[in-house]
Amino acid sequence: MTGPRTPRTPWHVDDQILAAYAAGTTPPVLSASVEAHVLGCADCRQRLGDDADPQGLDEAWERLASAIDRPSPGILGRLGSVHGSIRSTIATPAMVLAALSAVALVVLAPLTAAAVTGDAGLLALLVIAPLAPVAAVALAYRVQADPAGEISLATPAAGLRLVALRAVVVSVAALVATMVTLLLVDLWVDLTAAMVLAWFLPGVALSAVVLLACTTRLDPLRVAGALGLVWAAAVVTGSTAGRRVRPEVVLDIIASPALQTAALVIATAAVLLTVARRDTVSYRRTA
Amino acid sequence: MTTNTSTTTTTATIEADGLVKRYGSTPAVDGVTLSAGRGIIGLLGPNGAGKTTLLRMVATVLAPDAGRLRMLGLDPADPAQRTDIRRQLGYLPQSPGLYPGFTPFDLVDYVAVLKEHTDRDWRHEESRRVLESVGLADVMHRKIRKLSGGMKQRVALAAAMVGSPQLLVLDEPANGLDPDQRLRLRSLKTESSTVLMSTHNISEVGALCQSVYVMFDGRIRFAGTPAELAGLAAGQVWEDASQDPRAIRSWITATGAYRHLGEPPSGAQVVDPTLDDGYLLLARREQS
Repeated sequence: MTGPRTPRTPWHVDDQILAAYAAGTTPPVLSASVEAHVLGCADCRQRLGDDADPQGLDEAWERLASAIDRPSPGILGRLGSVHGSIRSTIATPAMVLAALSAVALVVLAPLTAAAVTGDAGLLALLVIAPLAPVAAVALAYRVQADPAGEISLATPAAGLRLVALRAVVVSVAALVATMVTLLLVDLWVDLTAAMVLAWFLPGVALSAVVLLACTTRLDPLRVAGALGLVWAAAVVTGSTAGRRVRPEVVLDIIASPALQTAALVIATAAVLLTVARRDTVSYRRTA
Repeated sequence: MTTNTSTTTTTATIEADGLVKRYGSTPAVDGVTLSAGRGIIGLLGPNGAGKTTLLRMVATVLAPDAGRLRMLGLDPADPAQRTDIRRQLGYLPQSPGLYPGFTPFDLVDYVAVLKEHTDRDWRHEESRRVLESVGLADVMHRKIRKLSGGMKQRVALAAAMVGSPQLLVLDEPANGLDPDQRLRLRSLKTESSTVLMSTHNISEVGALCQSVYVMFDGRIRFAGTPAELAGLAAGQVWEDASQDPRAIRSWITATGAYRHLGEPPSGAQVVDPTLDDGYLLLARREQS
């Protein structure tokens, strides 16, 4: 034998059908018959090659190659694509940047401080932990942080859903980073359960207020900055009342039922108000 | 650009009544009333006339301070109806921001997601289709930061056109395009039945638009067909070998002759007006 065996068939596809097949206009059943025959018949294959549109073939190859070459989404992508649209909605560069800054803010600063001195590290953590989700919400809203913001505003997905979704995603990233940091800080300083959890509700309350600011004429980034300064000032003042830094005093206040309840009330009220005013998020009254 | 106008209906696609938008105390749009049907509608006017502000309100990005606005028979002031408008809307902003790390394909696909196209295969096919239609088939998988200004503009145009929205709002679509690309924009086919586009380029209006609005200082000063805009200057354009102080406006043409706008003196060689003549006459009246 010299080369692949080509079975001789007694009949061939007639010219008209072959031309229609090449043009892609044959019905599915006929297409299947033509394909089955052409696979086994070198003559018809040759004739089909003459009929086929080379540009169309190149385009088909291009499409096939690009489909094969496209990287697979990976584990995170797969988890996120439970609802494909959610994944793409949050996977914008602005969001990645916001999440990374929030994480860096939460992890690096107090770790450095804790490495130098345990107390200062704890203080830094107290200042920063509740502010990370605040920064996240502000960055998630900020249109300037989203270069394609003007385009996305004119789509049905615009509005509180998009802002809230992005804010939640970045906040969760900040939350996880904070927890990891706390565990690392625990290597230097003994932490109680109260220390690990106390910052959470104040953080939610502050973030909710920033989210509420998104529904007003106020710039959420400025509101976030103002709230952050007030919070930081309160924590630093409270901690340095005596001669040495005593962050545990402030921690006791933050972990107290009164302050936690107040934070919960503020958070709930701000979220409810935001939902009631959700319309203004995507339909701006200002430039 | 050509639109698909096979289906006809009598309702106006864009209706505005006494529309006002102020920045501080300065009105950018100052009582605009218009009723635009299907086809390609051109919006002309000098810089700062309020074109972009008007388009942003039509694109449901900006809320008017006063007046009534309806697109596709729906009211953007109502949240549910606004979302309905956005489902049938494509918008190209004046200086569209794009993610430099995305490819054109990623970006158009992302915008399609925001437009609630959940079927992934269909969306990818559609993203490829619109990118091919604006001539970006070769670079659709290259990073946007590596593309030229004209290419970026076409990426944003493709993003506006994805999903064949009923209403297309284009703020200076020819911005950044070279003459060849501008010409191709003119033959671009769209399934959208109504296209509202602002432009500085008067010849574009003549080549593309079925109707035209001219804005000055936040108000619509002309509404009609391109032929009617040119017709404003009928009998008021003449050409001469030398400059004529009686003309309200004169400029030298490519042939070396002077073209004059205004009340022609007796015996003047009156010529047919162009769109430019009509626009310039309108602009001159606004100034005085």
